[in-house]
Amino acid sequence: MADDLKQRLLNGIQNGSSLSVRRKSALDAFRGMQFPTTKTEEWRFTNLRNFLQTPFEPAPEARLSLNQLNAVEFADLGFPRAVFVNGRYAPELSNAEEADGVSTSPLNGDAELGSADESESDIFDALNAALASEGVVVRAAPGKAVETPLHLVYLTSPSNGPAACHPRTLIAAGEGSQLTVIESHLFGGVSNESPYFTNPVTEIVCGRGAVVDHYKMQAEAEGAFHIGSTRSRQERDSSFATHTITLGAGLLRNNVTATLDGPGASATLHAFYLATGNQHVDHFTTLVHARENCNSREVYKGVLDDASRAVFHGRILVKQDAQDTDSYQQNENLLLTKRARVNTKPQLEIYADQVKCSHGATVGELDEEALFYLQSRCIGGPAARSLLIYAFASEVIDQVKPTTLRSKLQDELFAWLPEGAAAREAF
Amino acid sequence: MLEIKDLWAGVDGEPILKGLSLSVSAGEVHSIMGPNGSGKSTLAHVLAGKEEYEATGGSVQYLGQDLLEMAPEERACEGVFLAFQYPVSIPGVSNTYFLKAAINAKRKHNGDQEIDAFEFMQLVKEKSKALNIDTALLNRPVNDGFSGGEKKRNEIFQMAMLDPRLAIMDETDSGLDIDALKVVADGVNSLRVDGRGFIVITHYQRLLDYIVPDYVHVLNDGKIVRSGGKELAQELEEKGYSWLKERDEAHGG
Repeated sequence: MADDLKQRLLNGIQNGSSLSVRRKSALDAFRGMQFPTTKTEEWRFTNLRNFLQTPFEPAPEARLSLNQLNAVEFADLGFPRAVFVNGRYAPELSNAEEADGVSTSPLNGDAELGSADESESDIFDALNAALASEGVVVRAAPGKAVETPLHLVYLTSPSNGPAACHPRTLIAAGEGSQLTVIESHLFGGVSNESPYFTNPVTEIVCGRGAVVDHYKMQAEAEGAFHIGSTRSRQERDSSFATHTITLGAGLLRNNVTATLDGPGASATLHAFYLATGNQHVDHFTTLVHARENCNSREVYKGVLDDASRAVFHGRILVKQDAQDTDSYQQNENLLLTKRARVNTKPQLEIYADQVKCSHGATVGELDEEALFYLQSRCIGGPAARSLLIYAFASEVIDQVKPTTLRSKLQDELFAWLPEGAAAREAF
Repeated sequence: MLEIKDLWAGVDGEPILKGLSLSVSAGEVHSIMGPNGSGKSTLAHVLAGKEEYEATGGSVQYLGQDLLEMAPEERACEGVFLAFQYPVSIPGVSNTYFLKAAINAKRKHNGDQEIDAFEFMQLVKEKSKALNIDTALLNRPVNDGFSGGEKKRNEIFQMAMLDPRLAIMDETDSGLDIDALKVVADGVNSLRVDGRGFIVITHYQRLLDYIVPDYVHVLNDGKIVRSGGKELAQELEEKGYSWLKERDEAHGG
């Protein structure tokens, strides 16, 4: 079954000399690897059975009008954007060239891929490296402060049968540059339940002193399997933040690997996930402190409703050279029903001796005392619950700097929350 | 406005209030005093409607309505206000906007128009000035990182903003130094008006030097065992609560 799927995913790929060395080795790697099972330690709590049983094929070409695109929630944030439909660049929908101080180019010579780390770590990364045909390279010139966020829209619009896309993004921030990139993974199809597979890989390289603010906004359809990676590597004194916002997909696996590779660098990993129905969201993060004097702050917060399930794995690796590391990790989960479930696990590996590392995890229900306090202040019923749920999420949402993205997120949350309009009064 | 008759209430089937009766009219300040464990906080929470406190007997009429039948938020919307002994902090919610949501919930309940932003800010300005509340406090998340004194002042500020008809103060003086106590008492005194009733629950007579009550009631073992004027508080200050025990023994426990 898994071998069938491997073959199907590779349908149509050209063999032989037209492939670059890199792509060929990724292809070999993919062919040589097995899909993980729950016996694989990193995948203990995420079962890929349904994924493996779905006959995915490479996504066919699809066209969307500008109006259709803009009707998709989160597709239009008012920023210059590069739009990809079913993995293909859609120049007629894109205006990224209007972004001042930043150059975007399609992935062709893929020489720079793999910049953020040395090797493809798992079968999905290898699959992406082998198949990502069109993607984008975003470059901020050294010293350039790019004021307007750049929006990368990856839209899947499945037509007949389960489609698979492999978006690839490389963000290279030159020395002393400043850049904001929003990466959105959205659904542009009709039937919310029909299965499709998004397998994105994003690499971010922060030059010396660069400041990069990255957002991964995921609002795929219920039927989606979204399995992807974000990898960053930072040079000296750079500052990198990645905000992972997870609203959609039936099954999500999001790997984030942030490597602090120069002294004085700082990394922020923020995430908010909202899971409903039978959604399964799995965040697997690795923070690598490779050099001295770096700090990292990781805050993952999730709201789980119905029979949804969340998995968080937070690995922090402090290498021997990483003296004076300051690292903070927090995973907080709010369970709205008895059926929702969470598995959360920190994993600290520390090989340096001058290190400040703290971590914590909470899994809980809404605070009854807080609810009563609200009731005694006239706010009762669903509005009180909604107010507390939003307050919980706000620690992450408030850190979303691009205003249109933040307000759309708030709209989305308050629209979902029962009596959200009344709760919104309090913010 | 409030008529409590032979009220029995408790937690997990364990009775704490055992036949308490109390009548409060508009414009009056009633102080409830009593030793630890006598049921003071239970009374406050039963009146405000906390779920785990279950009323098992007796009745509470509030402005002609059966208070015990009302949801906590309904009671609040109808003018019952509880100033908490331990106010809860709500990170992520600004003190000011929280109050705007509260006022609008109340207005909606009463069929009134929502307060507009300008009117609301005017009200905030007016009340914070009258109560001498630092505006920096208003922009912080509700009670988050507040000192004990700040929390209690914030309760009084909320009380002023929500304009209740019946204000219940649950050991508002606990944990306050004398300066903070004076500020809180000044706040309460400025809110004493004809149409408003107060139930001031305290363990110590000290607060009543600043908030002078019309009536003082002594609560012991879930019942009011003595009522009197403000001089009763003075007497308690001198004699303490040990006489209650002797009294119990004299009555056969």
